[in-house]
Amino acid sequence: MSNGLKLTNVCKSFGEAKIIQNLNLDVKKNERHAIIGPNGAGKSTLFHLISGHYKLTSGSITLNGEKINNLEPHQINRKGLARSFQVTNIFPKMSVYENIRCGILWSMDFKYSIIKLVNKDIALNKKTKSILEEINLEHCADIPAGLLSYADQRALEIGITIAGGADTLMLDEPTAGMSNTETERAVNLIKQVSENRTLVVVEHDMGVVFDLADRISVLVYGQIIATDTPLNIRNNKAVQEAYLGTEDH
Amino acid sequence: MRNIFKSFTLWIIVAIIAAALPLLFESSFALTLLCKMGVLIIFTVAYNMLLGQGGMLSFGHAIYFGLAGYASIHILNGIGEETLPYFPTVLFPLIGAIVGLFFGSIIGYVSTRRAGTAFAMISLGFCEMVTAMTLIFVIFFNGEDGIQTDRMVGPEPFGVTFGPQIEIYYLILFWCLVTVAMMYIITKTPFGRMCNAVRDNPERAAFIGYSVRRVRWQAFALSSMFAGAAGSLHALNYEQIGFEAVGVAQSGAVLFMAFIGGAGHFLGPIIGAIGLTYLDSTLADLTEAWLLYLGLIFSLIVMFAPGGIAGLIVMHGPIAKTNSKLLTGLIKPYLSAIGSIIIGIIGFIGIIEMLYFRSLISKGEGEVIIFWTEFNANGIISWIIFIGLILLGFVLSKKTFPKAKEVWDHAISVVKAEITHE
Repeated sequence: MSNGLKLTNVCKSFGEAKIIQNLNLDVKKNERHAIIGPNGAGKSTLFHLISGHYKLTSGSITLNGEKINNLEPHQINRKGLARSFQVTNIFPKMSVYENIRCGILWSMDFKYSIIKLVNKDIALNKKTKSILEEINLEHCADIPAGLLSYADQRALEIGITIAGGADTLMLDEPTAGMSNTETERAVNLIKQVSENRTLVVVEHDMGVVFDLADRISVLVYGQIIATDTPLNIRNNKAVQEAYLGTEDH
Repeated sequence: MRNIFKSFTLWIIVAIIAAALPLLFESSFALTLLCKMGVLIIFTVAYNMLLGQGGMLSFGHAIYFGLAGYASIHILNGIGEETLPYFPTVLFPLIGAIVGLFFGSIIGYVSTRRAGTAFAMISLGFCEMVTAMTLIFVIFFNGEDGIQTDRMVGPEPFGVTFGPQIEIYYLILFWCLVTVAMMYIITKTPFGRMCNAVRDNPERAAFIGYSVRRVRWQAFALSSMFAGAAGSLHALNYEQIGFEAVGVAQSGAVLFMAFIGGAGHFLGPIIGAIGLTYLDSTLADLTEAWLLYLGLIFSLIVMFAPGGIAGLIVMHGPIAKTNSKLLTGLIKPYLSAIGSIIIGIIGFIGIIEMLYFRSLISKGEGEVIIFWTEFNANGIISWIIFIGLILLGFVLSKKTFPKAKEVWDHAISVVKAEITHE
């Protein structure tokens, strides 16, 4: 099964407004796939549809061959799909350490237990530490997550996203609002964590997109107008007209 | 290991102190007060599982407290009339817990489908509904009179009848320690951690694999279960229960205690339950306007210290950790700020008391006792004095508060610099 994530004839309307129309998208297993498109093209809506946040009007979505489009967000997450958000989405009052640890709980089968103690579980805390190391936040493990710098909060969010051991990651504008050095750090982190995982990323920074992606899909007015390698996308006439324009690149 | 030992010894110390309290304060007033505190500590900590841990504002949590109380009294009466088999009095809170869990699971299943304002409204609706039921289903609730019982039923193991109040105190103390310890342990479990996660960010919690509704529902059911245990003890304590135990007033009281004590910290509700129960019992004798002051305290906490009393204390933790000199430096500006506000509050209390006095039918000669001093509510001088105090307090606050804030800001900036330096 080479298909990681497959969307077939997906439509989404809000009342009269058709935001996504007959959208088809194939994301291969373990590839890094970027979705680009002008503002209002429906990128965030698409993310919300895949993660179960919004319900489809019609069409179907499969993850590793399994249909997921009628499931609740937490059920889709349990199938192995994890996502980050455009607006930083962490647990601000809990410590950085706790943020990561909560992200792991379900995957280690803790469920809704009121008997086990989280501090006493060696494997759980070991895994938490290893993820903190992976995202380079060990030094601020005990600080409330809300007090971290913006870039660190984004890194923490990626940490939560990978904590549950999902094989498909979806990142919504992971470098938005970052300085150049912060962006570089974030891209390296994303490359590192998406090793042997399927990655779907929405991003505005073309430098990041061309650096990161194996393939790129271009979304314009709710439809994918092209899916190809970065080089071919750069040379695609339709894409240039519709999106890249002449003033940007 | 050391941590377990430390926290365990702490529980033992608290237990010993609590057990010794009736020996220190021998009056029956003190004993009644301590019993009431014990019951309300359980209830408030249980309530805070919802409010503080789960982020759910309920206006109807007295339902589970009260219904468990009614059930306990009926069962006690049944045992007394020998229509029901004997059940040990010591284990009565288990009955309450089952009743609380039962109703909490059902009502919680419906109300936790929604969060925020809708959840609060639904809880209020259920509370009104159950209050109305107490007046309609007279056979079970006996309307406004409520029902009475005699807690001395059945055999007397080891000569303990639970007749004397002191025996009830130790029963309440035992259950208070057990349930509070259980609720504390629950905060350390996966479920407890996810409660906080759902409170902080339900959207994110769903995307790490947890059903937000299921977490909320479980929190609701468990919280109702512990509230039910408290309700049973309440019934045993008073040998009487009435419709007010399930009503909005009781639900509001537990909200006040949890919030004023500090919903964000585990110890907050305990502070609130002890403090407000004490004030309620003592101030209610001193002034008729006690509820007005309670409302005032609540409003001030909501506006200026949303973390409650525990929040104010915890706020200073990082400073104490970094540099204790910074902390001692805060004492002086704090005292002057508190002093100036107390002057204003004294003036305010004087005005309220005189207004209240003048609204009475029998004013007599106009003498009213405020702060152990006699004032004439009909004379202009008393009014001038208190209004003067309010103004003085206001002017002083204008000076002392910015000063206190300045010192606080300085201390916090030092702490922040220290953290980033590390």
